[in-house]
Amino acid sequence: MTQTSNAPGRRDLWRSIWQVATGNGLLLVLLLAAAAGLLATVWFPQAPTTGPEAYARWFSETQARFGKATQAMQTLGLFAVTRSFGFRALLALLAGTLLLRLVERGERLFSGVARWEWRELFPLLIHIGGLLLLTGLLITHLWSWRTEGLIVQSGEQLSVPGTESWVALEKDTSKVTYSPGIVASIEARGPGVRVSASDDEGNILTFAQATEPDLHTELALALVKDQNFAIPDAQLIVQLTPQEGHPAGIQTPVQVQVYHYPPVQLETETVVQGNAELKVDNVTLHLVSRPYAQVTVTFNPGLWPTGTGIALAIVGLGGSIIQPTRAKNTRGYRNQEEG
Amino acid sequence: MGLAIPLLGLSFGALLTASGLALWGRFRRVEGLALATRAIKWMATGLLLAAIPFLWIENLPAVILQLTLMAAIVVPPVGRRQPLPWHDATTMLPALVLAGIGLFLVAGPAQVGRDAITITSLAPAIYGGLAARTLGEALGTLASPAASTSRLFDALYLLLTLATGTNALTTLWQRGIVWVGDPAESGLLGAWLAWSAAWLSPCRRPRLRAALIVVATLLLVVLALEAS
Repeated sequence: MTQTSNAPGRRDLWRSIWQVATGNGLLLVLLLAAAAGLLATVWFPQAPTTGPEAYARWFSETQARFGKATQAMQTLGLFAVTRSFGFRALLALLAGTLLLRLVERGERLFSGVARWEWRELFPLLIHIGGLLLLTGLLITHLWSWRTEGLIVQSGEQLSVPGTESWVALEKDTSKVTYSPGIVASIEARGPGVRVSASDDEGNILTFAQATEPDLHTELALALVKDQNFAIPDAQLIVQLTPQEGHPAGIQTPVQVQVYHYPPVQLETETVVQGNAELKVDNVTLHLVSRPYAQVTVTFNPGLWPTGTGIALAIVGLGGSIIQPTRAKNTRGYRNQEEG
Repeated sequence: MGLAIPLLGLSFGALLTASGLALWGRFRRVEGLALATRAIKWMATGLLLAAIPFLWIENLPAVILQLTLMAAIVVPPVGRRQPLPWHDATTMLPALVLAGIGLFLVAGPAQVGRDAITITSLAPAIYGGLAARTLGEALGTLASPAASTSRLFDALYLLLTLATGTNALTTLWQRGIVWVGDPAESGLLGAWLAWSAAWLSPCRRPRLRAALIVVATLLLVVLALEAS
């Protein structure tokens, strides 16, 4: 007796839960919560994860902006919204809701309850696209890696540290090429030089650098900052400095200062742009322009699911807006009648 | 003083007049008032559009030109011919605010940078103008739910979906990740999510839908001004 009276009630409870989980209301609330999270990132500068230097810079800027409230805001997680447990749980919940809605709509469409029409496929595409996108984001979070600040000079091929991948920069620095499976993008460009030196008799001179124990007959220098090297045979020190007050780029002029030692005294000073030759005493410095690019390399196995998901969602949404489903149309008519 | 400032002043005056007439029409039924309001709106549009080349020629700050362009997109009374209570006045609110800020910047004490105006810098202003127009319509729907113009809302949602999706795919293709955490990118995505929520909201509650669209479009207008 008790069993028969409880069974319909329990069934109704499950049905209610199912209706809430697959209804528009829950999805609407989840989308709004995700929107609120993203909007918080617009107004609150998010803490960088690229390294202690970037974090220190961000922290001092944030403290200058928010003052004493910084600590409290940090405790609330306002500076790491998308990395917070809450936001990730929200995305997981969104994925779960999309999956349930997909099952419900698919079942209704393919079981023959609803009349088959092509436009009924568009909502399914939105749900499949959304799920693929979220799966791609999960794969990205779990297995992707990113290397920032790689310096590559034009015509050079560089191995990405700790991997078998490589990046290369074309001679005019317009394009970066890279090994399959990774994506490399240029963040900044700047001047650089390839330096060689010879004396009046045509002998090639060697260079010494503070950071390098070996002597070199040629140096390739990316002028991200000031660069120094010595020519021991001629007792000269050369300093190359990118000129300030010019827009940063491959054409930035470079100041060349040549010192004689010992004692250290300035021998000559000039500004060069592009290829140049500089004669100091009986030494000729050959400077060949070799600009650099600062490159970020990304390995993302979730790239294809993410891209496919976005494309499917766009097609689904576009189709649903242009060709609304019967359910949406019916609701619209009802609204007009009520109005 | 060139012609730009007088034209901006006249257009702001025309907008104020049109809003005043629309409000007056809410309380008193006067023959031909709706037609007069429409005519003044078209006049305001013409004055705003006429001000744009002079703003360019007189080398006034780019932000003023962008504000004027956005206002010029909001004002034209295309579509509905029958006035609805409060609707006409509220739809002009974004244009009034945009033109007012432009006038304040150009004539007021505030100093703004005189950065160069390029064709590409006008693109965000066009998007922002469309968003401001939809914001006006959404405000009109809030004031008068019977005036719900779902076709305009759907058209701009489609445009926003295409813009957000294309932006995400381009970032993914060029940088290997879909989201780099840039504030403008987050804002665009946030606006799209808010609008998606509005799209899901029940048709029988046009005010809820309009309120969510107000949030999304307001954000888009702010983003457009920041991008400008």
